[in-house]
Amino acid sequence: MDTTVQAGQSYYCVATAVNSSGVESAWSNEAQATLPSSSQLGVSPSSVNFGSIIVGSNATQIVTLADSGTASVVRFKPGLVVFLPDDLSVLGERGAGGPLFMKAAWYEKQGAARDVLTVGEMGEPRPRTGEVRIRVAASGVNPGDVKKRENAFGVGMPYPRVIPHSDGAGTVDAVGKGVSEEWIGRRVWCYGAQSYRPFGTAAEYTVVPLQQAVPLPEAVPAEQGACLGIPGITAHRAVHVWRVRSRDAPYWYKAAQVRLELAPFSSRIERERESSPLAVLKAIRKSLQVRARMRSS
Amino acid sequence: MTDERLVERIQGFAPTGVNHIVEVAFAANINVDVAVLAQGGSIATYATNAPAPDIPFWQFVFINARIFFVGSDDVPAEAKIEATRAINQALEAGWQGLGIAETFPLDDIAQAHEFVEHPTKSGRVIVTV
Repeated sequence: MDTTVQAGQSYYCVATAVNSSGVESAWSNEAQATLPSSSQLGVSPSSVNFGSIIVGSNATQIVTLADSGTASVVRFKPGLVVFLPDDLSVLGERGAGGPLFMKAAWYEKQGAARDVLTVGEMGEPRPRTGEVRIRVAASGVNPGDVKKRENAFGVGMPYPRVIPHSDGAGTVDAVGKGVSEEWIGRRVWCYGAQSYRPFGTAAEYTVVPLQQAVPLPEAVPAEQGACLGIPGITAHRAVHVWRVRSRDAPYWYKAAQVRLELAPFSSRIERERESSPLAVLKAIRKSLQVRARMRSS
Repeated sequence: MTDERLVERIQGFAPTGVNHIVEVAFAANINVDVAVLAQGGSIATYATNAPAPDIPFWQFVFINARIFFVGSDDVPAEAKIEATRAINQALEAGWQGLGIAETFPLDDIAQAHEFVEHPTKSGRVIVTV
């Protein structure tokens, strides 16, 4: 695919990993790629502002070419870079694995909804190992999504670009490694799409770990499915949390794990226990260092 | 309704005290909650109208109360899965789900956020894609 590029215009670049046989990988976001130099691109003369990008969830960068020229599909190890102009109508083709671009809403700084929310096109996400991609039909807006956008908790931007909303519903259209293809075509509701992840459900596609995609009963419309995540989980937890006993708390598990890990050194720690708390701490630290060395060797 | 009247009415329903309260407005209701809570009772709260509320400390001590804070993002993964199963069971049993106040197209996402900030009716807000 060749397409003419114009100086001063913004272009998206989409990077996709290829395997050693030169076959484009569906699991591109597991690879890291460095964009080629302008001479490798054959854009001449040009001063393309390249950087290092992580392929996948951060695959889309907008670069502006300083000079006109011809951009073509450029294969380089370990990736493939395609330059596509802003105006999608001039594109001769789209990626064989589905549309390269999706419609999405996002923000790159926090503030008032009207000031920071942008609706546009960006690279589609791809499912990694254990993940599914959902063609979103409905996206749920929760107060928490709005508070994140406002920076109500003062934590700042967790990612350079955020597609908001954790809850949504739609149809699984692609699966990552380790996920049965039987999931493709299933209607699901999802939660946590924008929880410790940048790209939520306010887009044509979203990607979540399989356990965060829940089959949506046939009679339930997608709009209703998009209401279930945060409200449903919060309600269920708030009603049942009183049953949680301290021994069920995750810290107890962690403490138990640490004890297990330290077991080979416990006699030493026990000996130190008789001297002073500081000596016990030192013994634990020493044991952890020994274990770390054992792991790395 | 005044707090006193609210407490009276709740006590009418639950003469021996309330065992567990799910609280959406922690700061606003804390005095009512402590007044109606049973000995050893608990509160699970996930939102508040004021971020740093005063709490009636000694009253909570006298009833050996337990307060749970629930942040949905960080609910343990197993508990989330348990919740999704319970929700699907309810849907399959015919539960109609939550009320939707308003639906916006993706192009109007800013209006959807503004509706959540200043709702004119209660219910969920949905963006369709």
